[in-house]
Amino acid sequence: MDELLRVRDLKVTFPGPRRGFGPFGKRAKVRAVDGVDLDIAAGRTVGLVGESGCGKSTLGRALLRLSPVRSGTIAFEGQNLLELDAASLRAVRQRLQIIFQDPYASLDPRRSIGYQVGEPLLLGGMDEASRNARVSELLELVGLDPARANRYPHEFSGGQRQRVGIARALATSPRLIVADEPVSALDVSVQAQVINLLRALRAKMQLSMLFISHDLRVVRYLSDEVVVMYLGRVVESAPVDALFDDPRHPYTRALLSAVPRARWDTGAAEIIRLEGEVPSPLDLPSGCRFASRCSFVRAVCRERDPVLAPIDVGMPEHQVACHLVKADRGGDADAAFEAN
Amino acid sequence: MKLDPASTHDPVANPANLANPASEDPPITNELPVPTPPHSLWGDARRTFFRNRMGVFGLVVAVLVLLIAITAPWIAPYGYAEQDWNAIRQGPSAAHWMGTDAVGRDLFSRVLMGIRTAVLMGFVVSLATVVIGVLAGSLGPLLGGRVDALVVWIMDGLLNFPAFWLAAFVAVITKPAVATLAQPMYEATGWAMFENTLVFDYLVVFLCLSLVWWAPLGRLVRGQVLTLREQEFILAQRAIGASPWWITTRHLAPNVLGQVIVQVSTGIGTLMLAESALSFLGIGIQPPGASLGNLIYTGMTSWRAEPHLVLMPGLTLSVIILAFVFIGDALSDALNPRVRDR
Amino acid sequence: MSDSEAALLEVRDLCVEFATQRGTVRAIDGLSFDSVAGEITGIVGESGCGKSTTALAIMGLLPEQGRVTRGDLRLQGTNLLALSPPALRGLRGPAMSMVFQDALAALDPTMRVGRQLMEPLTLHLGLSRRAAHERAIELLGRVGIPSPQLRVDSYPHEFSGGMRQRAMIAIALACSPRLLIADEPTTALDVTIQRQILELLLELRDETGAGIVLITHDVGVVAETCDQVIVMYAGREVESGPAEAVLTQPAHPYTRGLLACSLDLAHDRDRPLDAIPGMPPDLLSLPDGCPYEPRCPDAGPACRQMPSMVKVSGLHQAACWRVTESDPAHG
Repeated sequence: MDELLRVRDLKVTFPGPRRGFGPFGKRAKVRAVDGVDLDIAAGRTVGLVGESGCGKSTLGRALLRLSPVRSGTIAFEGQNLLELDAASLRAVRQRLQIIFQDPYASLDPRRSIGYQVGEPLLLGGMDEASRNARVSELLELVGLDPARANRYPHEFSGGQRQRVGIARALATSPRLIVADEPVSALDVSVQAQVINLLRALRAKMQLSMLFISHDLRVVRYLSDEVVVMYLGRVVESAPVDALFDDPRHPYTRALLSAVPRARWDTGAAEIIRLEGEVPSPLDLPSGCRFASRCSFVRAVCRERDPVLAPIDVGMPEHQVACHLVKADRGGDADAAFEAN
Repeated sequence: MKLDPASTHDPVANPANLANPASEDPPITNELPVPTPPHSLWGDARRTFFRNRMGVFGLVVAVLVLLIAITAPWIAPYGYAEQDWNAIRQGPSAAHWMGTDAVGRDLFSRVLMGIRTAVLMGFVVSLATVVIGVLAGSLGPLLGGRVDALVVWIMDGLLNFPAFWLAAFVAVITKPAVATLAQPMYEATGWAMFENTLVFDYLVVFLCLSLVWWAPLGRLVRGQVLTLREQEFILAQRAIGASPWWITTRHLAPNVLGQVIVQVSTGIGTLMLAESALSFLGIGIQPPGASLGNLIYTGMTSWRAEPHLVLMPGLTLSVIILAFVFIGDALSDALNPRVRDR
Repeated sequence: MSDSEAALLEVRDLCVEFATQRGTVRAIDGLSFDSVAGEITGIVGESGCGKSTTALAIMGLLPEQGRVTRGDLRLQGTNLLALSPPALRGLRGPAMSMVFQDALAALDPTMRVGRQLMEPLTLHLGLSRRAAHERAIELLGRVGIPSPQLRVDSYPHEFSGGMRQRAMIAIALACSPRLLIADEPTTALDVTIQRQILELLLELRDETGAGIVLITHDVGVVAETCDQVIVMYAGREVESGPAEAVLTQPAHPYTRGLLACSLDLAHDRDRPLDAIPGMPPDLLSLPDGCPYEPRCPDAGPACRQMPSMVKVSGLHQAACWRVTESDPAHG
C-alpha cells in the first residue's frame, strides 16, 4: 500500500494549569493526543471525527509541527518529520499543507489576498512574475476572480476567505492537505459550495486529505476512511461505509445517533443517549476513558484500557478499542449490545 | 503541476475543467457591481480619521505646532534670552505681543521656544519609548524563557511606580552628577555645547522620561504579540515555512503598529505635560531656557499683577495637549480593528 | 395557528430597521407568524436572515440602533410594542424568556450560578431568599445538572458548555414563562450534548405546556424538534407551515435549495451537492423584488415584484409566484 503518511504512537501534551502553590506548583499535563496511529494512503481521504477536546485538531496541527509533540513518529513520504532539521522541514512543508477553520482569523487582515496566496511561493524563492501568474491560476481554480487579488480579506465574505485559504494551501502543489474543520464556520449554502470545491480539487490535483470535523454528515460525504477519537485516543477506525453501516464502539454509535434526524423518519436507528459530560483531560479515569458514559459498561472496562484491534480476523481495516468487541467474539459482542 | 491548458476561469463554459461541472457556482460572485479601488485597513483608517472633526482640528493644530517648533528661532521677534530692561513686566502690546516678563524678555518669543522644547521632548522621547517599548515587548515573547521573565520583571517594576514621580526622582538624582560632567567634557572635547548647562537640562529630562515612559507601551506590544501569536493566520505562516523573523516583520509588526500609533499619539500629550511639570518643579529645563512649564512657574509669583505671564504659556500648553489628545482619540477610533460582514 | 387555541404569540407584519453608518438596514420586513402553547415553532435561515433579530424584537431587547418600525406583537393578547419599559421588564421572566447561544457570554462570570438563578425568582415571584435558594436547586436538578445542591454555588466558568446551557435554560424557566425563545441554543455545543439539550427542551415543553420558538440554522434540528417552521431569507419570511410539510415538500426555491445542500447521513457520496450559487445578499442593497431572485434557478420576470405569501395547502404557505402556477408538490 502506498502510504503517504504513517503516524505511530503520537503523543502531544500541553502544560495544564498549575497545581499547588504559586510559581512552585507543578503543572499538570494535558494529554491532548495520547498514543495515536494513523495511516493515509496516496489519493485517499481520511476523516477524523470527535467532539471538542478529543485531540483531533491537535493531531492535525501536529502533522505540520504546529503542536508540541512529545513522542512518536510522523513519517511523511518515508521521512520522519520529527527528526528533520529546519531546512529539510521547510522543503517538506511544500508538500504538506493545512487549511484552518476560521475564515476570519486565518488571513492577515493587513495584507492583500494575492500576497497571502503567493507567500508560500515567495518563501520558496519564486520570482514576482511567475508568482503573479501562479496566484491568478490559483484564484481561478478556487472560483475567485483573479482581478481581485490586490484586495484585502475584509472585503470578502467568509466563504470567499475560506477559498483564499484553500488557494494558499494549494500554492506549492502539496500532496497531502490537513483540513481542520474547513467548513464548520460557514453558512449551510456556502458550506455546500466549499465542499464541492474541495471534492473537485481533490480529484483534479490527486490530493490526499486528512479531513477533521465534528460533523459526521460532512465526514461521511468526503472520506474514504474514518477515524473516531475520544479524549486523545482512537476508539474506532474503519472504511467509511463500514463505520456508518456497522458502527461497533459505543461512542461511535452514540455519535451517530446524535445526528439530528427527522421526526417522521421512522426508519432511523435507535437513539443512544449519552449521560454525563466528557471527563476532564487532566483527570483521566483508569481503564477505558469512555467507561463513565458508556451504556454497556462492564467491570473489566474500569480496570483495563482497551486496545485498538480488528473486529474480525477477516476485516483488518475495521478496528475498535472496546473490551466488548473482540475479533473472536463477533457474534457474542452483538448479543451484549442487544441486551440493552 | 500544470493547469489544464484548456481551462478558462469559467467552469460552466468549460465543464472539463473540474470534476463535477453541474453544480459549480459561477466564479465571479455577484457583489461589488462598481469596481472600486481596493481599500486596505490603512485606507479605511485614514478615511475614518478624516471624518472625525476633532481629529482633523487636532491635526491642523499639531502641524502648526510642528512648524512653529522648527522655525521658532527665525520667526521669533526677539531672542528668547534677550533682555530689555526698559520693557519689563509689560502687558501685551504691539511691540510685545504677549508682553514681557520680569527681566524684560519677550514672552511671545519665549513661548515659541517653549513650544519647541515641548515638541522636541514630546517627539524625541516618544521615539525613544517606541524603540525601547517595541523591542522589549516583542523580544520577550519571542525569546521566551528567562529573557521574557526578565523583561516582564523590569516592566512590571516600572509600571508599579507613578511614572512622573519616578522620572522626577531619576532627574533629581542624576542632575548633579551630570552637571559635574559638564566641565570635564568641555575640556575633553572642546565642544561649545557642553559649556551651556541648558544642554544638560535637556539631556537629563530626555533620559529620565525615556527610561520610565516606555513601560506601558512595552506592555501593550507584549500583549498584542502574545494574542496575535495564537491567531490562526500566524499559525498559517508557520505552516508555510516562514521563519520567526519573517513572521515578526511581515505579519506581527503591521498588526501591532495600529495600537502602537494610538498609544504614542495620546502619549505625546502626556509627555509634553510631564516635561512641563518637571520644569515647573525646577527639575527640568531651567531659565534662561524656555519651557512652557518653567514659564508658568516663573509667572506664578506675580500672577495677580501680570496674569498674562501665566495665562499665555498655560493656554498654549493646554491647546497643544488637547490637539494631541484629539488626534489620539480619532486615531483610536480609526484604527480599531473592524469586524466585517458577519 | 390552530383554531382550538388562541395563539400565545402573534406576530403581524413585523418590520425592524437598523441605523448603520452606511445607511438604514431592514433587518426584518413584514414577518408574520403565530406561536402556540405546547408547540415548538422553528425559525430557520442563514446568517443575516433576521432570525436572531426576531427574537430580540419580541423580547424588546433590540440594541440602540434597532427599531420596530411597523407591525404588531401580541403576547396572550397584550400588545408588547405599546408597553412601557418597566411593564415590559415585568413580563420578561414570568411571561416570556430567552435562552441565548453563547452561555458563557450570557451568564455573569462574577456571580455564582445559584444567585443568577435566584434573581428572577426574588424579583418577579417575590420569593424569600431561602425559598428562592431551594427552588434554584430544584431547577438545576430539573434541567439535569448533577449534584445541584453543590453546583448551585459554582461560577459559570466552572461548568462545561453543556451544563452552562442547561443553567441558562433553568434561569429562563425559573418563573414558568408561557413563551420560551431559544436562539441557537445548541450551535456552540458538541453533537452529543446537543442531543441532550434538545431532548431537554422537548421534555420541558411537554411538562410545562409552554410555547417554544426555536431559532436555528440547522435544518436537521428543525426536522427533529419543530411542529411548525418559518424559513427566513434576507429579513423576509419565504415559507412557513407544518414542519413535515415544509421540509418534505418545500415550495419555495430557497427552501428547496437549502434542503438540497444540507447533508444527511444518506446522501449519495458520488453525487456533488446541489449548492446554491452566489452569496447571501447584502441587506443594504437589496433588489426591489424577491430578494432570492439573483440566486434562484426558477427566476422569471415576475420576480421583479415582491411576491406575497401564497397558500400551498392547509397552513403551508410560501412567498413565490411559482406556487400559484403549479401544484404545491412541484419540484
